[in-house]
Amino acid sequence: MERHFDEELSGLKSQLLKMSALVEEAISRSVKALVERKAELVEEVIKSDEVINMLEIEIDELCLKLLALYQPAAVDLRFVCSAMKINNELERIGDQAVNIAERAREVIKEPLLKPLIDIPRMGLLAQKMVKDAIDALVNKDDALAGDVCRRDDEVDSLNNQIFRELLTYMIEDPKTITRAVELILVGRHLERIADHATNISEDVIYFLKGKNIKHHLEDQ
Amino acid sequence: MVIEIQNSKFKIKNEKEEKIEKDIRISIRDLNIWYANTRAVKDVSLDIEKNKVTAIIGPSGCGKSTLIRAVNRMNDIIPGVKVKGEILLDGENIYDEDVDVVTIRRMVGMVFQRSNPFPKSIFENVAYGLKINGFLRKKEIAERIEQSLKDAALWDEVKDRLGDSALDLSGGQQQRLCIARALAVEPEVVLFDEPCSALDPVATARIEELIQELKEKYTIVIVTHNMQQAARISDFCAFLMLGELIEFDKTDKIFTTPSKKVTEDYITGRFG
Repeated sequence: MERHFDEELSGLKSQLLKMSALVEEAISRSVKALVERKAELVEEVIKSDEVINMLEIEIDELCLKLLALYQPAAVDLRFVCSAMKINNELERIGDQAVNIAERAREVIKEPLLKPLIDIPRMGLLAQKMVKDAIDALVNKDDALAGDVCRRDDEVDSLNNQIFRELLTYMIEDPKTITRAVELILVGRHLERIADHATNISEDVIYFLKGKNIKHHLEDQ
Repeated sequence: MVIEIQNSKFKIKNEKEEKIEKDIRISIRDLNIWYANTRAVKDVSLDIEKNKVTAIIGPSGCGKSTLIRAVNRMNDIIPGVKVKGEILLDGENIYDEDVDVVTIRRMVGMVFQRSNPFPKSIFENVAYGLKINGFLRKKEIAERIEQSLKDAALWDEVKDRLGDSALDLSGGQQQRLCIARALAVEPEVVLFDEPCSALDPVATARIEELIQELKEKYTIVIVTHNMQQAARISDFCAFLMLGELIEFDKTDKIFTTPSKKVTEDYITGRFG
C-alpha cells in the first residue's frame, strides 16, 4: 500500500542528500584551498557552512514533525531517528571543513613547508567515506556501510604518518613549528571527518538491520 | 542490557544470557478454535506473564477477540464453537471437563468494548458479582465496593452518589464502573477487549493510566485496534494474522525491531 508518509520520508531523504552534497563539496574545497593555495576558496567554504547550518535546523524540524504527526514504528522509526543523528554528524563534518579552510588561510600566507601528498589523499578518502555512507543510506546498502566503517583505519594510519613526518621537520628546525602544527591540525580534522562518516555508517546499519554495532559491542 | 564495571573494563552482558525466571500465569498451548467450519484460531501457543500487560494486536478478523474470549471461556456461549488445545491458568487446564465455568469467570474478569452497566444503581452494579458469589454481609460488601471503585479510579467521582443510576454516568465513567465491577470479585486476570474504542482521547488516557496501575495487582490481557495504545501500555505484544500467531515478544522489541517482515508491514501501516 502506498502511504502518504512514504512521500514525507523521501522528502527527508532528499534533504539529507542535499546536505551531504554541500558537505562533500566543503571538504573538497577546503583541501583544495590548502593544496592549491587559493584564499578565495576559504571564504566560499565559510559561506557555504551557513547554508549547511540552516539545513541542519530544517532537517531537525522535519524529523520532529514526522515523529509527532505519524508516530512511526519499526523500520520507519529507525529511519527517522537515524536521520536525526546523521543530520547532526553532517553538520559537524561541515564545521571540520571550515576548520581546515581556516588552517589553509594561515598556511598559504607562509612559504610551502613541503609538497602536500598525504593530506590531499586523506581528503579524498574522507570525502568518499561521507559520500558512500550517505549512498548506503539512500540505497539501503548495509554492505557499503560496513565497508565505510572499515576504511576508517586507512585514514587513521595516514593521519599518524602525517604526524610522524611533520614531527621530524619540527625537530630538525624549530622555525617550521607553526606551519607544521597547522598541517598536523588539518590531518586531525580530516581524521575527525572520517570518524563522523563512520558514525553515519553505523547509524545506517542500525536503520537497515536494527542492530547496534557502535563501540564494537558485537565483538565483546 | 546490564553493564557491570569489572577491573575498570566495561563488560556487557546480553540479557538473553541471563537466567530469567518467568512467572507465567496463563499458558496457552496449541489452541485451535472453530466457528462451525471456519478455523478462527490456529495452533496458537503463548505464555502470559503475571503482573504484566500483554497486548494482542492484528487486523480485523485475525482472531484476537476469539483468542481473548477463550481465556475465560466466553466462547462457550456461542453455538457451533469448537475449542481444541489447552489454556492453563496457574497450571490447570480451564477446558478440563470437571472445571466450573463460573469459578473460571470469577478468576478471569472481562471488560468489553462497549461499557455495559446494568440499569441499576452504581452500588448495585459493583455489588452484583459479590452477591451472586455468596457475599452477604453488608459491611464486607461496602468495603469491597469502595476498594473496587478506588482501584478503578472512579471512587472520588461517585462516592456521594452511589445510589444514582449507573446509566447517568459518562461513557468513560461507565467503562471504569465496568472495570470496578470486574475487580470486585477479586479476579487474578483481567481481560480487556478493546476497552477504549468507544471513548474519547481523555477518557482513553484515564483507562490507559488505570491499566498501568492495575498490573501491580492483576495480570492484564488487552485486545486493541490501536497500535499506539498497545505500544504505550503493554509489556508484551502478540501479533496475530488470519488466526495465526505471527510474532510474540517484548513490546519495545516489536515496535523498534520486529523479527518478521509481516509484523513490520502491519505496524508501519504498509499492510494490504
